[in-house]
Parts: sequence; structure tokens; C-alpha cells
Amino acid sequence: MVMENPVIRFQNVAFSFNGRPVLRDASFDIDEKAFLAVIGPNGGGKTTLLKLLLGLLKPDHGIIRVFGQPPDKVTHRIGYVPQDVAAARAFPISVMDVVLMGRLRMHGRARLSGSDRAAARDALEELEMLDCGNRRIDELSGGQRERVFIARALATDPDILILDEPTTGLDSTGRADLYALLKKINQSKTIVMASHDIMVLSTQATAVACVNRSVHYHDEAEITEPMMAAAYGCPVELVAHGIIPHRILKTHED
Amino acid sequence: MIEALQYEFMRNAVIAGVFASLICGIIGTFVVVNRLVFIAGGIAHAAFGGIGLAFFFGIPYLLGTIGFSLVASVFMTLVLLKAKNRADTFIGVIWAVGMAVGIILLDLTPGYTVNLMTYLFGSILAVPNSDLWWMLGLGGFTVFAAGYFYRDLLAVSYDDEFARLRGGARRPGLFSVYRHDCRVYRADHPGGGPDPGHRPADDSALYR
Repeated sequence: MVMENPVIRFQNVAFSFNGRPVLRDASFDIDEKAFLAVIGPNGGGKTTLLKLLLGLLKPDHGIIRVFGQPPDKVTHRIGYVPQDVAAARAFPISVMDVVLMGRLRMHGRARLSGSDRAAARDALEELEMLDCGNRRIDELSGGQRERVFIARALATDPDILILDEPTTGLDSTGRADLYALLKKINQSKTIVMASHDIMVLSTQATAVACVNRSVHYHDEAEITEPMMAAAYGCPVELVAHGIIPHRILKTHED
Repeated sequence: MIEALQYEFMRNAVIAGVFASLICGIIGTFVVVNRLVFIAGGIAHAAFGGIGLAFFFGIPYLLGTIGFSLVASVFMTLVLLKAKNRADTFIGVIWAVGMAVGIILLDLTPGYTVNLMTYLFGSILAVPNSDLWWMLGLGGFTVFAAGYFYRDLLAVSYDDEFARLRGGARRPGLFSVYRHDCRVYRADHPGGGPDPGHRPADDSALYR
């Protein structure tokens, strides 16, 4: 499991919040252009793991390296799609202005240049949201808003895209669309995505991290019974018919 | 209506009204979208303590109010950053303590006779020329800063975590400073408090 030059490396990382351990002894490496699915129950530490990766939180123990550096040195290479933007609340801001946030201080200047606006337009275009550019963010549906936040992350021109439960509130069509989009993005970028949704495993994840205080890392996208139990809170029998893609299961090692 | 402008105090009142609406319009927008109305009110009223201090020690009232409200706003910002869920309690305390200090100190000042209320609610008709220059300077700075740093202010107001990630790599702490500055600045000139349009001390001239 030790790679030559992992994009992301966690070594014996532990984190506690107000004395309550949230993560312990997490060690794994993520390869370039991997698609890591982070699954686990609510409160299991998925968001904490992502925030450690972003440098928004500091680990109590252990070492985190992104591109060989501490995460807060490379935040400009990471695009982040937060779980619930505090601002899903009513805030008078247009879709274009949200996406332009991704170009904030890109060249160290306070003012935006024409190339910043072009990059924001390209990102919206890629997400098929350019038509909504002048609409207010709070007029959009949940799925559209999610696309805007992904566009904002892409506008930063990142090497790693981190998404925290982007499928919350999306129906199965919306999710399938999102995964197709992520697949396209994954061709050029490493993706780390926290999700409750097992569907992501069957479609494109190349690695899985099961997070429930401890982290079980699997460098293949297999679905195991403990994963299902972690995601659903109880053991679940897997059913797959005909053309639905499915994976062979193997038992958890411990 | 037009004849009224023959009087200097009427001209000053009109100019002061225009400047105040410019400043409050810009600052007030950020106060409202950031839901900082209570902190703005708290600092505005705590500034009354500065008036008390200024009179008690015989220093210019402007220094007293600006100094006092800057200290109050720095303290409130620290509380807000450290213990967000308790911020309202602290703001309420500072609001009450600031006003109480002002009332006590004014009462202790020898020879003080002017009605307290004239310091809280000034009159726009009593704005002197010197205050117009203050307002011109502050207004110019506000328009320039809000225009130049508009993208940063918007980002911090909308999603400060994301803004921190964008700004973090090259300029650590930049956005917390912005956030801090605009809180302090906004809070110093809230819509209803001792902003330049309601500069209270000069009002006492009407009662002399």
C-alpha cells in the first residue's frame, strides 16, 4: 500500500474534538487521479477527514501530506465543495458571483481580470449552468446549486477535487448525472468524495475509505459487508440484477 | 424649500445627510447580510462610554468615542471568533456596561448639566463644517475600500471557509484581518448610532 509519490498521504493521523476522539490512527496513501469514496455513518468522521485534508483542522497526532507538503501550503491546488454552504441561506448573490469566488486572489490581486471571468464562464459551461449565471443562488434547485458549487471549485483550477456529500438531496437521476460528470473530471483530477451513497462505489470509485472513528482503507472499489453496515447502520444484503454493474464482494480483513 | 439653503446649517444638514446615507448604505448592507445588527447596535451604544470618558478626562469627545468603540469592537470580534454561540451574551454585556460607564462618568464630571439624551440622539441641523470634513474622509475611504475589496468582502460574507481556503495559501490571516476590519469599521458607523450624521456632542450647543 506504500506508493512512490502519493498525492495524499495520511500517516497515523488522530484527531479529537473537545476531548472526544473523532479519528484515530488513520493511515493511507492516495494515488494521482484516483477516485476515493469516503463512506461511513453520520458522525463517523467523514467531514473531519476532509477538513484535515484541506488543512482547516490540524491533527492531534500523525502527519498529513498533500503533494508532499502540509495541506495548508497547497490549498490553492485543492478545489472544495462543502457539504452545506452556510449560505444556502438566503443571501443576495448571483450564480456568477459565487463561481467567481473560485477566482478570488488567484493572482494575488483584489480585482478580477478578464481571464478570471472567462474561467468562471468555462466552469459554468462545463456544468451546463451557464444559462443560470445571472440568477440568484437561492432561486435554484438543490441539484442546480450543487452544480454551481462544483463549478466554483473547478474555477480554482485544482489538481484535487474534494466533495462532501454532494448527492444529499438529489434523486437517482440527479446522482447518476453527477457521477457521469465526476467521471469526466476524474480524467484529469484526483477526486475525494464523502458520501452515504453506495452507488458511487459501483460506478467509478477506485478506492474506498470506510470511516467510523477508525479508517479502513481499500485500494479497490469493492463493497464489503462492513461497508454496507457502516453506510446503512445495519447489515444489508446486496441485490444486483442483470445489467446493473456489480462487484464481487470479499470479506473484511479484521 | 430652496430659501432654507441660504442658511449654513441647512446646507450642512443636507450635505451631512448625503454623506451619512452613502456611508450607512454601504456599511449597513454588509452588516445586514452578515447578520451583525446586534453587534453594530452593541458597539454604537457602548460608544456612549467613550463620551463619558472624554468628558471626565477633558479630552476631545471624538477621540473618546472612536477609541472606546474600537476597543469594544476588537473585544467583540475576539469573542465572536472564539465562542460564537455565546457572542450575543457578551455583546449585550458590553452594550449595557458601555452605556452605564458613560452615564456614571458624565454624572461624576463636575459642572456637567446637559441632558444625556442630547448625546444619544443628536440633531443633523447642528453639524459643523469640521464634521463635514470627517464625513468626507470616512465616506471616501468607505466607497474606495468597499469598491476595491468588493470581491473579498463578498466572499468572506458568503462563505468564509471557502474564502479562507482561497486566501490561505499565499496570505495567511488575510481574510481574518479583513473580516475583523470590516466588523470594526461597520460597527463604528452603524445606521442608528453615533455616526457622523448624528454627531451628538455638538448638539449641546443648541442647549447652551
